[in-house]
Amino acid sequence: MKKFLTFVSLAVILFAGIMAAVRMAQMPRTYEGQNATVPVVILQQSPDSYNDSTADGAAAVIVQQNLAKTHAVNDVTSVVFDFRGYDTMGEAFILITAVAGSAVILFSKKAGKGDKKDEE
Amino acid sequence: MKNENIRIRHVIQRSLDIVLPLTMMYMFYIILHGHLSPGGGFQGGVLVVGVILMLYFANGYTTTARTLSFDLLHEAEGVASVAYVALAMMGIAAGAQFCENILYQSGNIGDLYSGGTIFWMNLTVGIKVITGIGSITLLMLSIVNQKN
Repeated sequence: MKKFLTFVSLAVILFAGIMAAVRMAQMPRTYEGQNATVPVVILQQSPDSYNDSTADGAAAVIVQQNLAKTHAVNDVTSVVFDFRGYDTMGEAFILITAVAGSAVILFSKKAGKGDKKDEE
Repeated sequence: MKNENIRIRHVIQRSLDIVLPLTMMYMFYIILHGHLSPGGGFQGGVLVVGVILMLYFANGYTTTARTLSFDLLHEAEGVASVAYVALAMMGIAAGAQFCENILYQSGNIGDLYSGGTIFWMNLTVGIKVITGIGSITLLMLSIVNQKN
């Protein structure tokens, strides 16, 4: 019964993922890359030559309306903590998992529980 | 030979009195100025490894373990993660989306306190990385220094 439930839930997740991928493939592109006419070298030498009035899609929101929407000067921080805050939450929860996993492994080694069979 | 070792250790301890506060100040500077300059919670918090390793090299393991306890750091990490989720849920409570920046009008553009929830989320992530990476480092030091 437990195995059956596991397989059913995995199948549901796989089906939902495939459906989401098909839906996303059918959606129109948000960024075509047509307006990226300035080479990177020229952009690094003179940042003023970047014309941000022709940005399209999600880039337009971040480039043109960042200060009005978030009042944060650094665009990257406003993307990480505001526009993609959900992503950062999962990223930060990885740390707790890492600490818990290394605590389990290292405390068992410290108490001498894990390595008795390996030595003999 | 033994006297020479003791003298080197004294030099490390005295120089640590100057370097350690500067390092911790730099760490909190990077965390607090995340929305104004390159950096942020993740990048500034990792500097705590340098602080703990400098404490360990200068004072030995017993002093480091007495100063910082693993359990306290682990609990503080849990508190910081709950605070992050609560700040993100404030958007839902105000009738907007998850992680919506509802306090963004607090403070002027370019000030230290500006950006609303970005500032507070940055601070919670910084505390979380400080405590998480610090507890991992303390664990590894305790494994290195265990007595067989």
